[in-house]
Amino acid sequence: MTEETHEIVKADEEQPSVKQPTTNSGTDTKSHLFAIRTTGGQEKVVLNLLQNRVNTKKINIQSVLLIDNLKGYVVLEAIDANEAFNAIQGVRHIRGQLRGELEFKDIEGYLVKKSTVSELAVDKVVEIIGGPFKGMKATVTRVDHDKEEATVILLDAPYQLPVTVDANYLKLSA
Amino acid sequence: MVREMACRKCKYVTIGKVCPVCKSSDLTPDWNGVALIVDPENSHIAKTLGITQKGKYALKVT
Ligand SMILES: [Zn+2]
Repeated sequence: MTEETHEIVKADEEQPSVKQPTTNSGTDTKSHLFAIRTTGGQEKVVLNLLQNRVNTKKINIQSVLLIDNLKGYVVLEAIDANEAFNAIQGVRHIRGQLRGELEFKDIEGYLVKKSTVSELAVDKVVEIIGGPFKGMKATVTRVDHDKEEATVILLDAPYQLPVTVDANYLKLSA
Repeated sequence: MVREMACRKCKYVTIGKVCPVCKSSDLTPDWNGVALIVDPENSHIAKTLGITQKGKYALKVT
């Protein structure tokens, strides 16, 4: 490894003086998602440790996600596995290594857009993604934009029962 | 421990009484999931959530 003799040069390179144009400049930088295994119940602690790290060190990640349905993991958004690894290296409560890459569609359902209510309209078919009617399909009969809620009729119910649901619990059905 | 509240409008998580991002005082202790946005410009997650400022956000606010 001849690399070692260039250590000083290498340190110089880490100073962000001139930005080298990357090969994919002009297009969106493509980030990837990595599931990081944590000690059970310590996901929040890990998130806070990573937050402190972001504030004090220069780590190149785009975001960290903590998803309730994904117990024992945090999801890291980074350009590549190397950057993800650098970000978590030495952080307490992280068990093992990266557990492979996640597809964006795997977590998309957890990312509720700010204004679900704006996409809703009467007669649209929606899927209920939270609350007691989770998993059911329904037709929208009324939308309240101020309260961000909608009244729907469940499609699978034996009789037509109108229910008012938080708009964030609704997703337009494909 | 100080209670973290999420803004009902923009989902930003704060320990203050007013959301520092959108200045709303409509905050709730009922929220779950976290998106810690570090690099909003290059984050696919931030784009999907419509977030343009870095910080800690709730994924779901009830
Ligand atoms: Zn806000």
